[in-house]
Amino acid sequence: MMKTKTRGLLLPFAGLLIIVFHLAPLYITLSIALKKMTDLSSRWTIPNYLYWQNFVDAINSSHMLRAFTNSFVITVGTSFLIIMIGAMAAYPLARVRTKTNKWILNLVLTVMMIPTLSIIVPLYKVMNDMHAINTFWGVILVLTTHGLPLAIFTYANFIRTIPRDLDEAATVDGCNGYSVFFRILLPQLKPVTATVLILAGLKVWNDFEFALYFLQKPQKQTITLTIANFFSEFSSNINAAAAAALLAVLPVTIMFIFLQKYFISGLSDGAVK
Amino acid sequence: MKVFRRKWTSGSHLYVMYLPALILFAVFVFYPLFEGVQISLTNWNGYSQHYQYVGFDNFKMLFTDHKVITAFQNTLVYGVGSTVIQNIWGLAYALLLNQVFFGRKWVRSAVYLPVLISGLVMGFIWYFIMQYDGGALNDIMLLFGMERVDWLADGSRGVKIILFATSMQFVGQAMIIYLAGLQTIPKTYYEAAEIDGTGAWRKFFNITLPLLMPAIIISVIYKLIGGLQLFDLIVALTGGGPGSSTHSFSTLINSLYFQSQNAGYATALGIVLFLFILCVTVVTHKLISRNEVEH
Amino acid sequence: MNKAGRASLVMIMALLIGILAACSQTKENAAGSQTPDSNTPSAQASESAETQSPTKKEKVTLEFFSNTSGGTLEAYQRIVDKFNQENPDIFVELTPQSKDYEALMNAKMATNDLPDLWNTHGWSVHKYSEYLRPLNDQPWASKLVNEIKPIVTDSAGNVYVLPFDVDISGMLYNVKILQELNITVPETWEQFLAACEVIKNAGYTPIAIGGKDTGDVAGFLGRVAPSFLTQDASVEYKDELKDGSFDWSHFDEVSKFILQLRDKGYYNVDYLTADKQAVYKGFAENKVAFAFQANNSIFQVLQLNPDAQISMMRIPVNNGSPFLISGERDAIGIWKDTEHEEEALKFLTYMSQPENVSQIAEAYSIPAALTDVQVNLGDLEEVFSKFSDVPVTNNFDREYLPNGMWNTLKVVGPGLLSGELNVENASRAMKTDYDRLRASAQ
Repeated sequence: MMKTKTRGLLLPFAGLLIIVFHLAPLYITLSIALKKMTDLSSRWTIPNYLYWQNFVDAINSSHMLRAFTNSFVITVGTSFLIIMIGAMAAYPLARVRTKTNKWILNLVLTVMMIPTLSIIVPLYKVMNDMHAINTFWGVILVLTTHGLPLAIFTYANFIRTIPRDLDEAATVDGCNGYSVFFRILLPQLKPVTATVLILAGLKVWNDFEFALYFLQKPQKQTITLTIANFFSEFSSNINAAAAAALLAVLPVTIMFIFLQKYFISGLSDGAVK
Repeated sequence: MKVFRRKWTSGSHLYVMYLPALILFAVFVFYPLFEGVQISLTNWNGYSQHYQYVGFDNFKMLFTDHKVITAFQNTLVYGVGSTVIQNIWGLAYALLLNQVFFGRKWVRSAVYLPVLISGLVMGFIWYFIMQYDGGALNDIMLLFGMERVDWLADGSRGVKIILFATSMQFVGQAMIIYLAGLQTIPKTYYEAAEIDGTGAWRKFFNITLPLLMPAIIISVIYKLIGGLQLFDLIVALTGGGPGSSTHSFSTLINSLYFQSQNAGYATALGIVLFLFILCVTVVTHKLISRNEVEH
Repeated sequence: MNKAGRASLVMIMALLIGILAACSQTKENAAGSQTPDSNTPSAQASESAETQSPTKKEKVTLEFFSNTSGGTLEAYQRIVDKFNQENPDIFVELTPQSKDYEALMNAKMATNDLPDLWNTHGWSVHKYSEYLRPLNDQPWASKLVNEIKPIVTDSAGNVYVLPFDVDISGMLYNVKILQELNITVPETWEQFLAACEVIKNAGYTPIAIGGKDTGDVAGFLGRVAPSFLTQDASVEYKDELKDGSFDWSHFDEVSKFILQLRDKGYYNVDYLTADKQAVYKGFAENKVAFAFQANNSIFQVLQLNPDAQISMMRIPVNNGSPFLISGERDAIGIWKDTEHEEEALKFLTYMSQPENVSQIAEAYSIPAALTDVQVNLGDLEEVFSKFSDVPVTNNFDREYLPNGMWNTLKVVGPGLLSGELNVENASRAMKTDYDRLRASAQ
């Protein structure tokens, strides 16, 4: 009896500590973002005034809305392509077990592991030759390519858990391979699509390395690049920079709060099933 | 026509479905890789029309360059270290949150929230914390009457800080995967073990861990990818410094290419990295196919 | 490759659409009697959609790449906006590029695909001249001030840019601390070291370095190196540096001096990890006495603390007279292959009007590069006029080193400070890049 009582308090207390610990970095950023530039007090103290001007400055001085739009376009475009191409590619790879397919799956796994920076020099050259620098389609295709392996891998793992009887029954009914995929299988992929969407979407939204190389024009810059510029050697207003960083986090945070169920169950469904 | 239709249904024609993916890989991964091999044999500076073939000079230089050796060690630390730390840490959180108590959903959200933030932003935030003058950590040191420390001045400590920062950011991902994994383990297993009088540790090692294997493999793969590719957090937090002591392969390639205009050398480094990752992948793949046999 | 790339894109789209179409048709046609041939029209449809371009504008658009930021960029933008308003048939598109401007321009030069106009960030002669249109025929060309003329003129006498200002800088010092400790502004390194000792003993930080920003350390090297190698009356390496015969073991002196300052504890504690912001903060809180930085830092400090008293001083020299560094800063050139030369020249002529030149020069608080321009330099006016006769040298790396060595300074400086490079290795690293970059420049 005693034991359960202390335990009843101990766990929430441990939980509280964990929450404080993991949110501390964001708290510090918030306290900087709410301070005037001339206020050099400790980063742990929230000032007794709230200086919202930093947020206004961040939005005004960096074309933040444009950057949001660009990030949004790239994220939506890339996620769509990754889901379509990824699911399609995973289907034969998971279903038809030939030597070629096994070989291709290994290839996919390899590509998945390659750090993007390892081929950045020649990739930059190729993109330059294709006139794909500073274009959305260019960066979307590159991001799709590098997001695909994880999607194919996740989809293939999931498709294997769907009983084959389903496809076979459909084939007997006269459906060809494609329509089996699109009519029978695709609806079943909904939960794992949530996983892929969240993983890929987050990665694209937060992408820095590709945007850094391939979107140099300010008109095309994404939100992460805008933040990088804010903190770069040319800017000394860290308060506005902190505000900009918080603004960049805001859209995903709002999505997370409202779609928490999908974020969490999506990731786990796809992973464990 | 009839022959065609039979082939169509038999499934071998489904190859068409992975063609788009293969084309993308060909254009944006393998063709550049092929070009890269050529570039790595030159002294190209990244923009000039003129360059010379230098044979394997770039590769020879790699193995004596202390920057490359440091970056290699660091990449291993970032990759393997963050995988180990996040999986243990995440599993611990998952075990905690698998129990019913007030506010556990809040804990789950708070731990997961940083996963959403870009590594770049996280790096800048960590600079606010680790900075010598006015850094949040040093403010705490002062509060407890201790001397301030220039945390990032020592490269090997810098590597540990980066490792910790990235682990703390992404531990939520491992936690969620393990939470889901734990929920698939039938309660009856534990009940049976309880009747047998099995201790908590035995239960953990005999029931929990083996049944979590699929989740562990997925989580390890995610973490390896993230850790081996670590880039933006380092760029923002230390820029690879002091000197070149906290560089990963990725940040070193970036600085060789963009800063030192040594494209040939940067590409050679990239190819070595590529081959290294290939080896890691083969090992990982073995791990996965062994698991498949168990299924 | 361009075609191959486009083709692959079209193919992917076609495949996607084709497969989707195949499915939807199967739905309508449950018997499934259609052949894959029916994919082709939709593939063609997607291709033609791909090639359709938006309607062309009649307006001439001039692409103008700029590496500037902050106040300077705002000044450019103001002038460009006004120009666009007054010239409805021309649209100057000012695109600021930040950190990786050089890499971008390098890539653009490699493909000979340059913007109509761009900022040459100090390299109009040594790097960009072969891509720029000579501008000697322009009305403003005769009005260049003497401090900038030799710096923007090549050996054939051509000027390739419209310069707006002369980037004169030395070192920064904290007037308050020096006054309080009764120190006169040092003119030799001996005096400088003595001053540092007094400052340190008084509890202040003698020198602030923002080592997280490798550019800051490179700037430090770039200021100390000429003092030892080119401005000192007792040693003369100018010619050797230029003709490639320089013995890089002489660079040891520079490294030794920098390490000496470190070992005596004259730098801020966090010299390896501080960002520039920390340096500004040090001045703003009146804790720091010297910094090897350009004048615009003064204004960053004043933003943090309007009462701070920071001024510019000459860089000390062991033998001879202390000097200042002068260079091209804000300057615009025109691509020699631009399709809109007439419009670009019109824009430059507009930019050369005194009120426009002064806006840009004022944004960085440095003197103008054209003779008939008045620039309000505030408190610095007095400083500049006081130093109007002192020796001035171009930036060390631009004048004496092959293009690309700035990046070497960014590696060697932090390498020295962090202990990764010793004195000999630093000189060797300088020599390696010096030889490599000289060779590739020829």
